[in-house]
Amino acid sequence: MRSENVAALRDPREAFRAASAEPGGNRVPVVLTDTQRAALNAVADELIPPGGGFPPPSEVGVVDDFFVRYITPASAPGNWFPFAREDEFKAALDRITEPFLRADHDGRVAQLEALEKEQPEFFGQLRALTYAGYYSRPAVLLALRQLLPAARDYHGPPLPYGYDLTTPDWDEITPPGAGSYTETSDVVRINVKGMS
Amino acid sequence: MTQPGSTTDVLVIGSGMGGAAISKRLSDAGIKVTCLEQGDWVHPTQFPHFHNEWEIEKYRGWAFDPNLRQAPEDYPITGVTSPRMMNVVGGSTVHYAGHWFRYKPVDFRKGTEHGMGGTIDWPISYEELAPYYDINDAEVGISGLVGDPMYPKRPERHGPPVKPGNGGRRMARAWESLGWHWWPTDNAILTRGKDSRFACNSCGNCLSGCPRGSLGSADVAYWPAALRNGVDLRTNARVESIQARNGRATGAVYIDRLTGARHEVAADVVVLAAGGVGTPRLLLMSAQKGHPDGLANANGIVGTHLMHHCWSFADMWFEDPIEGYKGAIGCSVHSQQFYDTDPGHDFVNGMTFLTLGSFGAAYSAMGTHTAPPDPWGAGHREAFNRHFGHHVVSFMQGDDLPVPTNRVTLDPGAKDSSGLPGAHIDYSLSPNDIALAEFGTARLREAAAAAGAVETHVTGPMHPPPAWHMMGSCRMGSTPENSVTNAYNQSWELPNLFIADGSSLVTGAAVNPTCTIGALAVRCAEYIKTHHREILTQTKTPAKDAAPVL
Repeated sequence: MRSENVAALRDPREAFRAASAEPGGNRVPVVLTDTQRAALNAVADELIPPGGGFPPPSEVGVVDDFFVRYITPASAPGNWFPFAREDEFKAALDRITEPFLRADHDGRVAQLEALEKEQPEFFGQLRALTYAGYYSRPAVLLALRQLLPAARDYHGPPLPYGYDLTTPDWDEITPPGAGSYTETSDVVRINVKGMS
Repeated sequence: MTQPGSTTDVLVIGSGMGGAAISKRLSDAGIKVTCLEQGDWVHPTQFPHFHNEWEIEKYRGWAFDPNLRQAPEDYPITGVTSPRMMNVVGGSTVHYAGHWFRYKPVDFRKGTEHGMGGTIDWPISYEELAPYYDINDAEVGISGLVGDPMYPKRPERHGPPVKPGNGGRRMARAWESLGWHWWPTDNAILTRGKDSRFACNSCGNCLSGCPRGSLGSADVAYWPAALRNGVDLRTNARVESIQARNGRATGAVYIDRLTGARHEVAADVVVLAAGGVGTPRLLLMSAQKGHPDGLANANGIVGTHLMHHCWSFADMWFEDPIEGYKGAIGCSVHSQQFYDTDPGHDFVNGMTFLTLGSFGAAYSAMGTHTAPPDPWGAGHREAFNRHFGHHVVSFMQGDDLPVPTNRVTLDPGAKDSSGLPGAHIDYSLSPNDIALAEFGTARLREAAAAAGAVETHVTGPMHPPPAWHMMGSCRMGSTPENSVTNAYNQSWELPNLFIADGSSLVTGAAVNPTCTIGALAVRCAEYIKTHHREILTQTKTPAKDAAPVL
């Protein structure tokens, strides 16, 4: 009797939420082993090398705060971009982990070049998660603002702030006012070149 | 088992621009309206704008393509194109760009002008639709600048045009240097507050909707007033079939997705407004005794003449900062220099050139709209720094021919979460579309050079096209032989079944369709309102000349 009452109170829309890709990614992050985390951090640092004032991905939480929320859990009913289903992703990762962690910089680059050619789907997942994760981390947003003139106002999430005060308006630019349209009564047959 | 039903004066299926406009207009007049929507409301907290991860969400829960989104309220679509749609209260307007172009008078007379492919004249003229454009514009709240000589006059807009940002200013100057027409674009984006909706604050993420209500999506532009009028909007109500008996629609059976129970709603009038793919899908799903090939489909036209527009994109990068992450993502400025059919061309129809914003840093690294991702490794930093904040995109939107072989059918092999068949799309660009898009691509390159771009990525004619627009699949017409409905959106087969959405459009013009979808819906509602009693007794749908005068 008690369980029936509990069931009756449950909002069916919870099931819809669980079956959807919601902002923020997985409500329960995927769990990675220390070795998997180390390998992914090493991969991310090769994909986006630090320098010019930009931090390495491994120091801004790309793996620990982003990959784990955007790898699709094995139990999820769907599979969303970048379509890195947990079991297959971990299996592919485990195959490269040991040689990758053993290699020096040049060796790691060579292994990633081979991976890009031979396993483009898996490589694409690694790149998408690294790029999307890195360029959404607060420490990187700060670096963008400080280092790139074109990013001086960039604050990442569009809201709540927006850019109303810094978006250029029309000011002195006015349209030339040239052009015309055909009135309904003036529409006639037009034969274009090559048209019988 | 179907639950005992309810009754209503008018049953509307779909809550997007068409369904919302009709529900509001009819309920303004005291008509009892029930609207069925298979999705739910999008709450402001469900938009991605406040999240650090807002950009990856564009490819996931806020993907345009339901096949990528895979939400329980969506239905699968197989075939060559990936339509951009959303199945929630407000429909696909919840994440449209808000570009708000009217058709031009000539767009209603393309049958007279060339008649190529399956092109026919609309059964109405621009002048007949103009008053309803005005009404719909006022309801939605359109920003812009009147006086464009490429159009008939239209009323003052609700606020000035959206800010162009550096990108819009750059393209306006480039087009002007080429001697081309350009004009600040009308947008369904508030630059002045309206009701409880805020003015746009140039956040730059309109294509993922707008939690401020600045974007004129139907859920904020129409539904609050429609609900105050008493419209019975039923969410999570997925229509399984429209019912008919003795030559008249009697209502619809829907599945309550929250409980799985089936319900029937009986209605005097049924209005189908489920979109350019959803509407033919529902009509085909509603095959029944007396209608073996689907409702309103005795002539086999349902689903045919699908148009998506034809497209070519130019991503451009400049040496100086553009800051394209600022400002409305949608088109701030456009050129219609090559809009009209030109006897000197080797194709009929024409195109509009538009601009878009650039989104943020992650989107830039991933290649922006059409380019490949920035390189990884040693070259990454230089490429990213060169690209981010230096980008403008312009694209051509061409008027593709309505041909019968471009069509929507059912795919019984693909099921939605209620077990109903998905839709399938066959679509090919015609030789005319390709010639048009190649011409437009050459003009995109000229404009990029005139703008001073130092790097470009030009797609050329895109096939399959990005199916942002779904039009023509249940088109209006002058006779039962060339169309699915008459001039008042009234199906030829069932006088009390109306169709009012993107599927109604006879031609696609070279402009975004939502403005015209809304205007047609308002006009359709006005007809139903004015002639409700006559519609209830009609046994045959009249052609325009024989129909009651609106």
